[in-house]
Amino acid sequence: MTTQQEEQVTTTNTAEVDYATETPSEVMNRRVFMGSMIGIFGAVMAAVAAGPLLSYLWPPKSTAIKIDKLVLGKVAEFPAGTSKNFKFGSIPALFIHSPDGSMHAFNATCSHLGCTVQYQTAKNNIYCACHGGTYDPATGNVVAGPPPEGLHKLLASVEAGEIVIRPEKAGAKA
Amino acid sequence: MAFPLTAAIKFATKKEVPVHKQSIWYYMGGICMLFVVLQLVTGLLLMVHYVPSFDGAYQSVMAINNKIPFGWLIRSMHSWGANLFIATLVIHMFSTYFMKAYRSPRELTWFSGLGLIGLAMVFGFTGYLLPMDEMAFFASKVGVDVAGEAPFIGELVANFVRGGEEIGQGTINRFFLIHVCALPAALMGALGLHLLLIQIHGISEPEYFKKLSIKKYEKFFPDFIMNDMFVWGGVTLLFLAIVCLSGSCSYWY
Repeated sequence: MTTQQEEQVTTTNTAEVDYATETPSEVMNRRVFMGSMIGIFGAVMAAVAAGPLLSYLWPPKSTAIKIDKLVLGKVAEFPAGTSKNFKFGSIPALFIHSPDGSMHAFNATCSHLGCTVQYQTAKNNIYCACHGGTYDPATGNVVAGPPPEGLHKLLASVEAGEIVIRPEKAGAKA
Repeated sequence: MAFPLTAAIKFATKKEVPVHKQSIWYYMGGICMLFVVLQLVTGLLLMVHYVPSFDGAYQSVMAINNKIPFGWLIRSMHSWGANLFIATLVIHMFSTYFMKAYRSPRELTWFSGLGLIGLAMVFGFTGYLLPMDEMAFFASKVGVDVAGEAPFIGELVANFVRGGEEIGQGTINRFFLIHVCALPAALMGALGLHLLLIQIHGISEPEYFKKLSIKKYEKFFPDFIMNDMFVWGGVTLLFLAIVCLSGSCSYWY
């Protein structure tokens, strides 16, 4: 090893880093360290705040109400040819007392895009005002328009002079 | 540094803040600003769940307090923040008054500040009705009835503010609109003017400081703003401690 090389090695080993003259790319100086720490601290604080904030903004769980039986009213209140939109639990429902005297009830959610259907007395059909879907008032089958399937039925019966609505069968989709 | 910030930072580094034994009062304006931001953020969050209706307002506030996760925190922050904002504004006003910082050429800054205090008070009054609890109802009734006692135009004004003969849905509509829409817009304008005037005139120096042969100054950026950030951090922690340990301050009355 030449004397020059020896000198170089000695210099490299013993020289202390001069923070005043070193450029930031060569050494983690105080400014870079503080900057990083502030960044990390900020990120941690943001993460801590994000949890509560998201849980505050998250929509509440659906409070669907399921019922097995609903007394709609007295038979006398619904003469033939009339109908009533009502809530069966949290489901929009439709009761129809047909001109022929039969009684029907349906889940009033249109199978097309979920609008609520209504009974049209003059035309004796079930009609969806959103896109013109038409259903049969006795069976709930599609008569016209875009709905891909019929309406889900509910059971309408008369018990002690009152109209009682029940799901079609226990556990069935109302 | 990104281009749009360069000019702002160049301006901020030129600005100097006098350093003396009363410098502490210079931080009050910054704390007021912090409360403005806190009130805006918590107010926006409350609007996610609040229902401004005569029948539904109280239930929605109860749901925020008891059912929605961290709703109590947001509501208490807004409620406490409103009170502490006014308190800080008053301290800021008196510090300006006693340091004689209102004098020429800063008269307009002083009056814009008084305007901001007025806005803050209307904020407080209109916000007080919104939870629609018993206290809110009667406090608003008394407040509006006081306006109704003014000669000649009193009843007209009271009816106009109330949106009818009695406090009802019309009152909530009006107070809600004023609280979340009209006042924030007015606040932004008045606050913008206030801050602009402060930039134009610079920071006021006390009389004795002006006479000193050796005056000490610190740069607004980064020195003063760094201290400001520490103050904001400290005040926020103190604020959160008050909020978490005391619940909504409306329970206190």
